[in-house]
Amino acid sequence: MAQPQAAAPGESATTVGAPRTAAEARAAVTEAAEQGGVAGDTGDVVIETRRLAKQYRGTLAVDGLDLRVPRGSVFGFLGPNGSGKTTTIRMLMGLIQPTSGSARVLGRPMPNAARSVLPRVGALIEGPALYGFLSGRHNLLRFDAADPTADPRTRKARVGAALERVGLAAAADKKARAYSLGMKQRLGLAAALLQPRELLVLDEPTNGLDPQGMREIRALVRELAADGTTVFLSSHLLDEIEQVCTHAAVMARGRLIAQGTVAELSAGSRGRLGVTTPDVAEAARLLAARGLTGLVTEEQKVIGELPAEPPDLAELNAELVGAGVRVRGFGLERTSLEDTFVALTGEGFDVAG
Amino acid sequence: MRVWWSLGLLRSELVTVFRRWRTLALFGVLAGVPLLVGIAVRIETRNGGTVGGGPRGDNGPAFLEQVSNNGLFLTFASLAATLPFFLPMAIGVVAGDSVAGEAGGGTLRYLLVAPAGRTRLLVVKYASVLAFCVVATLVVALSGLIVGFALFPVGEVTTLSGTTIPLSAGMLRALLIALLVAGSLVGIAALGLFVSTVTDSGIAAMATTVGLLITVQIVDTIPQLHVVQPYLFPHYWLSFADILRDPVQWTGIAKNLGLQALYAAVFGSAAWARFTTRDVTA
Amino acid sequence: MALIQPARPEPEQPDEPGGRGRKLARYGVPVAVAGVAAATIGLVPALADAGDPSLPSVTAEQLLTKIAASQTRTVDGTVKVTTDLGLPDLSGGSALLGGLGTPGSGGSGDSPAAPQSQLTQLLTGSHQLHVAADGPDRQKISIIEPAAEYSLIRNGTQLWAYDSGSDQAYHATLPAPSQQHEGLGGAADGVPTTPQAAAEQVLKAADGTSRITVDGTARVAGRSAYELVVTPEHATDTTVGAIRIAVDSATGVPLKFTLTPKGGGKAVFDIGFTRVDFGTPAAGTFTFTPPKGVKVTEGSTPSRAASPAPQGAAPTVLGKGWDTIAVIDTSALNKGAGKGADGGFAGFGAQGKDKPARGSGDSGSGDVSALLNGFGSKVSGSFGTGTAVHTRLVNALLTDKGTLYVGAVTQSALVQAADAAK
Repeated sequence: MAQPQAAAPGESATTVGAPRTAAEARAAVTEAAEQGGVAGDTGDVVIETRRLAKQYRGTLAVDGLDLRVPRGSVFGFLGPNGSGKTTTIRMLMGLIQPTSGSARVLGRPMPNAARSVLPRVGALIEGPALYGFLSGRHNLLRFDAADPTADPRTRKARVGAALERVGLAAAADKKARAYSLGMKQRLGLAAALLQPRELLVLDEPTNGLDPQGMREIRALVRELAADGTTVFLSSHLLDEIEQVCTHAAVMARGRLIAQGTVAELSAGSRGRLGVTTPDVAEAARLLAARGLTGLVTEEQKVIGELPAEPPDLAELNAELVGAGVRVRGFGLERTSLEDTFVALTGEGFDVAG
Repeated sequence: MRVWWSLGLLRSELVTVFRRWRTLALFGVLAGVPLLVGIAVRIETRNGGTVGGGPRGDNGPAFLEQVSNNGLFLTFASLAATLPFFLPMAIGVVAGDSVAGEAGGGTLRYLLVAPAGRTRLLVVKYASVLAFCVVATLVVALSGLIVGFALFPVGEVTTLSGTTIPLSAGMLRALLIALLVAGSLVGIAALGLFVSTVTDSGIAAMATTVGLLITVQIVDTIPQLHVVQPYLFPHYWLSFADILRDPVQWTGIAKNLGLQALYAAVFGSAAWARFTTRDVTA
Repeated sequence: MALIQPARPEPEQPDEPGGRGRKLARYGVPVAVAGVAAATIGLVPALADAGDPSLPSVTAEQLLTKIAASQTRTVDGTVKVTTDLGLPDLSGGSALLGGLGTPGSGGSGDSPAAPQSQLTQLLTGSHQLHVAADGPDRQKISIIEPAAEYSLIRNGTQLWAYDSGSDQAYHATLPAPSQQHEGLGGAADGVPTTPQAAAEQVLKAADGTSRITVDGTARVAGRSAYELVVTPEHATDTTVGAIRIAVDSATGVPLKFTLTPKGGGKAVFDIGFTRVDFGTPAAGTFTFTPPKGVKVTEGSTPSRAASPAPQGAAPTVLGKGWDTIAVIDTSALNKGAGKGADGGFAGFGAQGKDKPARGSGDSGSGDVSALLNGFGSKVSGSFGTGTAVHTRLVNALLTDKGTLYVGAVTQSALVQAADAAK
């Protein structure tokens, strides 16, 4: 059963970029908590994978993944399409057998403990899938009947409440094939909310929604998180993660390249200064002298990364002007996950699709 | 409690299967066969002629000659006419679609994370296909009974051996035959279920199952292949007619049911092996 | 850290995905089920047949005496008949054979329920029969077909037949219970429908021309039996290789009859019980009342004393014993048929009274020569030219002058006979 593809223990650590220390610190905390006897359901890690890997016909879709999702977090799972997010989620949900490594969800191994774990997990995987010939209500009744732990006596009430919660009560008795994409997405969410869940796994929940729909879904996610539900939210939309999530992990080409709190991840990339001027060469020389790195010179603009201990920006500006640089614009560019992502992977974020 | 909740999934599955327009259309086609046969026989025999043309009636479906004398035989003739292709094709469609259709539609992943449990879901799927077998057979039988009673005289039943039994006994045998016909479909139901776990396309699974049925039916008629024929699932299908002999011959019926049970065991467990270990990527 | 590592709630083992091992183990289930089934199908009959029964040894004479002395006149059982003459399995084949064996009987205007058209089908392929008998006068033979059945019931002088395939019945009145011995299944002379009938025909013919030996024992239809082997002697031209008859050790009733040709290969004719009970069948077995709405064809009463064949068509016999050749003048037969004299089927020879006016002339020798031309090959000799039909047992030669030579002999023997007649 030995898989040659299994990542060496140390390998994954090297892939973790900037927030290495913070992540390691938290890892140590959770490990300590588990060792204290509170491992399992009551532990503060709801998803934990160890060197999780999946190989499809020779290509590694997921490679040595060490993921830790703390309880109570809204965890953003970020990565371009095809980076292995969905494969990871399917392995976490027991739909796919890992090639190597292990995954624990709510403290129990997956997929072996699927029967006891999954009733406490609501999931929306790769968009909604419905029976077009059944009404929205009957779709939910069917998914609820599939759960052996769901009480049939409260089924109707729970289905009604779930429909209410996602705002589909009015359209509940229409055939699902007549639903718009947004309605289908909501019905999929309703299926994930049929029971009180400890963990919600939402794979691209705002995909195909209009801005209003996106706002509603995000509000719902915040509401659920406020109730104490851990939300594991995969997305390829950076601002979505930034707006909603407390924690995030970044995947690229099957590997986990960073994970931590959103604040930590953003902090990982220091501020960037942009100077708009026709005298780009002189400006760049001066900025480099003041410790800025990664200078990019455009036709009318110079962008650079501020050093760890940045100089006073007012003084810097004065200095530029004093040196005869015609400053037309001077300011900090917004630091974001995207910067982190670019910094970590050295490539742009493919938002298409 | 667990059992009750499992029944909940079964009930949901049955509702899902029997509510579909496709299922109702299949029933419609199946119910139409006895009607067509009945009307054809009625027209053919209006002037006292016989059906089938040839003096031996070898080429016509079984029991057709008896229909004009006794409407109950329309039930038997309809079952004999639909058993080789119509009924198993309907089963092939429903069984082939059972898992593959859910996979293709994506609903399979939601059932599995519900979590329906793979073994439990497969058992429920097979149970619902078997229920479809019974209902489909009863649709043919009841349609044959109604049309037969409406168009032809009904009375004492002549067995294949030439003896006569009362109508009530004949009706009882008709019920038994319907159940045997339904039982004859257990094998292809399991075969279709297995095929259904192999692919993510409902259409492909249906086509494969129906294709297998046709292939097996053809192989069953090639004399040079007689060595394998006793192991083909349709080989003893017509044994249900042995119920109408006097005395009833149970050997062929037992062989048929045994063979069906064997197919159910082999392909049912193959479906289980496949379904419980496969990656669900659709 | 490792020092204070406590036991985890779950052992690490289940964390490891089972992967390929678990997959293989699961696929082992259907394979095992199929394997067990195959073994069961293969072994159970083998075990059931295993070990030929050990019986006190007997001589052939003793066994023949036992057969002759057999008092069993009641039987209820299932018989399997397999005929492999090496002819293509065409419906015309049985008509041809019927025509050969019983000239002129292939009238196409017969009721589908009439015995002659039904029983000749036994001469090709494999059939299952249900046989019941209570003495020489009460017999029932059913040919079990898929979803159909042909029943022939004899009760004293009343002969009934019912064909479920056509839903028609046939009735004839036979001459008063005959003095002549009628074996089980003898209702259809010429076409043996029980191993006993077949054995009686052969043993009668074998007397003095064959070597008869006892060759071990066998188990047939769950009963212990001696195996009697009849090998033709002093016969150079016959195509018959050997005949094997399994004789029930308790009752002396032949249970299985197998004829293998001299050329070797599969048996040409194999008839045996697959289930047999020597108790008296229920009396109701032999009563038949035509069901309402069923068309009944009334057969004529044959006269047993009369020649079964039409005038002028009576075969002359050449040679003796196994080398016997029947010679039939088909031109005379044609004439006879043209006159409307129907070909008689030995034992029944009945024709429907309401038979359509279609003459049987076109189904007499005309049919025979047409079929011969279809199957046969041209041969020539000093007799002239003719058409020969070859099967694994019976050969036939129809000269262009219209003389038909038939026998279980080689084709060259037929040519020689034709040459000699010249």
